[in-house]
Amino acid sequence: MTPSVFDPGLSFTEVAETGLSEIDGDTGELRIQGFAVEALAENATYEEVAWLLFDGRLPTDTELVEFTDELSDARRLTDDVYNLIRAGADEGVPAIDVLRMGLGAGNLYCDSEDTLAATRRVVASCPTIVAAYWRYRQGKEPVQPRDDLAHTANFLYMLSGTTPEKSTVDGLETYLTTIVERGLNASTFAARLVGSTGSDPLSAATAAVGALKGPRHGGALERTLELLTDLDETVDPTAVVRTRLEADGSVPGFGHAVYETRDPRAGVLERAAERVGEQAAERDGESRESKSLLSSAQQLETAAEEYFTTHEPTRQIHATVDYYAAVLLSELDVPPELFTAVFAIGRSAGWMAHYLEQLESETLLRPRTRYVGPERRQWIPRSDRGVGDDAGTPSSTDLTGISSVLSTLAEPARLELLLILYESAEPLSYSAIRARSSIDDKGRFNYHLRKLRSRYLTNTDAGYSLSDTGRRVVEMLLDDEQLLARTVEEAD
Amino acid sequence: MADRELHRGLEGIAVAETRLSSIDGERGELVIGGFPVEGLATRATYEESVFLLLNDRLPTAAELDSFRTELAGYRTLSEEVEQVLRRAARENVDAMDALRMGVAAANLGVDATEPTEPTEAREYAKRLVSVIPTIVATYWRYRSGDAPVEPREDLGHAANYLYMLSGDEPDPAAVRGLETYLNTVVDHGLNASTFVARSITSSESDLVSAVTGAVGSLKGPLHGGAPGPVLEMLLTVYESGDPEGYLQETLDAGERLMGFGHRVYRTRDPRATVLSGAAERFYADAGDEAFFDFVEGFEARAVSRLAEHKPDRPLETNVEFYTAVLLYGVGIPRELFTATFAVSRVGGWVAHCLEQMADNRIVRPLSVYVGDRGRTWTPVDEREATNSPKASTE
Repeated sequence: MTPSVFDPGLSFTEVAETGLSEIDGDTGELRIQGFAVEALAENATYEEVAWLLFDGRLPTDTELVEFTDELSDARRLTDDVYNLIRAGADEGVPAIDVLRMGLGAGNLYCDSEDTLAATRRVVASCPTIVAAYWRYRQGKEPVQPRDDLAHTANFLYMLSGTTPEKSTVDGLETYLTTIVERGLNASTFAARLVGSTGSDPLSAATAAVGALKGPRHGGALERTLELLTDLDETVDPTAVVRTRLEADGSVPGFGHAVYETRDPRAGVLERAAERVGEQAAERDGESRESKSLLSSAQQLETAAEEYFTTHEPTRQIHATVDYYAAVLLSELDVPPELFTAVFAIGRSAGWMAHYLEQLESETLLRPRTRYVGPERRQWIPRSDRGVGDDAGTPSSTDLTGISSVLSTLAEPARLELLLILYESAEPLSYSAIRARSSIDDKGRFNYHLRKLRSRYLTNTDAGYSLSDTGRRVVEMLLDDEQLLARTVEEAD
Repeated sequence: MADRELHRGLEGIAVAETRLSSIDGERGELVIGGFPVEGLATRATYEESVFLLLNDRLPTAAELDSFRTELAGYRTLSEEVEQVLRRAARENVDAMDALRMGVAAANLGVDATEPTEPTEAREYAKRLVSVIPTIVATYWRYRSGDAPVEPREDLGHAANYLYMLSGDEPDPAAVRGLETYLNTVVDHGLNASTFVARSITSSESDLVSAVTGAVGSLKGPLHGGAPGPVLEMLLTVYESGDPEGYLQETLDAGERLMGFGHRVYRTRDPRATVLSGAAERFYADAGDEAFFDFVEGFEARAVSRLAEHKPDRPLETNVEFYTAVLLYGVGIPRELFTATFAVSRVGGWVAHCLEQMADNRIVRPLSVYVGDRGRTWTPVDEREATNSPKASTE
């Protein structure tokens, strides 16, 4: 009954076959249904890409007109849902939580039993919920959707109440199509998990929005914008990079790329931001502020690339898609409070396509756990219970540290890893430790190594070695006097 | 890459370490918070079970007292959520959809900051455990054309749920029966809904989002935990008085017999044993031995027919069989069976979320691309409907 594999992040486990998108193993390029994402982002409307994800090919002229109409007919909410959104806005609840509430109440404006129609409803209604939330936040009434406007233009219209400029629509459309789909991130996987039980599209979308909310997933845009707005001509970008790295270990908007180049989507959004800036400058004569945001982003990126090449030559750190997304959205006057929610608006078609793919596979995703709790406990009547006697460990705070050390070490594999490092005079690379260890399974190996990493190991360019704490622990357990080993022998 | 492997259902893959429950499918054993389920379910109050899951030990009498008070303080809904539930009931929206609506908005009207900090997360854990019975009962009252019943702080968790459903102070035997059910199904490893809750938490999201996701997944027909059809079957057969005939017909038609067989257990589900005992006591108290005797007789016949019919497959009684019998007895409307499962399981969901937060790793699996490659853009007026077939997903 013991599971054969332990892979807590599932980072070595393929859970599904998908026809939706693929990331090129050599270049890091993203292809959606076989199309390079650049080609879609430069050419397609959001409706076209959504259709592509749902139907596996580009729509014909007639199909596109029908689909655009279908979405525009599915935008409306009901009064009770508006009241819910208003309550969220009044209580200062973040936009992404209100999107969860609005979609969660979707049965009031959508028949969730009609699966295909409901997936379209989800895509169509996200912008209405987000825009209504923003209007209430401003103390204004929501703007009703306009049927003659397409998906992206209508969202901008509902936000501001005025018909948007074409260049603004194009800029946002590029953003939405660029981020519409990218394999199994946490939110998409949540949608598939819900689909795996045969549940409905609203439930899947609600779960995905809930996962997107986490700062691990959705919060990078806001952090990037904060970084960029703090820059001005008086600040040295290299110093900013260095300070951030030293303080937080990372620079917002920059990430460790799996591949050797920066994410091609960052380039798509950078070009879109350039176009929007140029057109705004043409229109208004001057648009100092947005131009300066893009140029300070570009300067910072150049400085960061130089810094990383010099100081972190072994790691591939580049601007992520979030970096230029923050610039573009801010040029388009999308309020930073809505950044994550606007990402959800774009990704919703990807979520729904993945949901349908999982639903059609009729495969329940039901993994296992490894039980690490106590063996059989005996029931103790309420009056006889003490705070500690039942759990076997006193709960006083000075002992929890010790017990956490012991619980981390109560695993032969981890002791083995500590010993391997203790016995080596030099720091060891990841593969060198793996080769010396008896743990065959890569997932298990990574897991145990990670458990030790924060406290017992240090990781430098030269490889892993024991931290002072790690060395002390090994010496305490296994020193010349063999204190622990002797105690165990005596007890046996 | 050699280490990658496709595991469609994630069967046999462990994705988390847990102290909360342990399942031995071969021997038919379930341990919750270190206690064999049969040692916990009939003795504990639901509040004790939740305390156990959140704190890894049973509460002292004083701790239990203050825990109960805290939970009771979190039961009320905001006005807007009540209105949404009223509308849902009026439009005959399913109970699970109504529950998802209510849970998705469970942070309205709660005076707390962002629920992603660990201490706040514990507060939201209590809020979610407490508010779910109110959502279900409010929906049900509207659905029955009645006004909702305000929760009563002097009643325990199980008793208050029954009270909010009916408006009458419940009978102690019914409370004990429901309480045993709530303890029995409070946690069961990484079932699909619990895994959803942990996955959402793994992105450092909040408990309201995680539990909303879990509710949405519990609703799916492949999840299990939907004992309504079992009850329909039992009542029909009870009325017809011909169990043999029903079994014969169902099995001859090649249909699945509801209430038997489990993905994990090769034996009788240990929870079925606990719930059968609780149902027996309840029906004896209520003076309705006849129905319970029929149920036991039906179970015995069914198990032996199934053994003849599918000798190579262990098809034993599962948890849904006696859930239907017990919940029907204590007066839970069958439309609320799955929602009542959520009333219990939320204790497990929130405990798993806190466990995930304490030792987090983002859950982000891989997929295999099986679609077309190398397509090029065609302008819309040059496209034909058949120019490229739908990508096959097999």
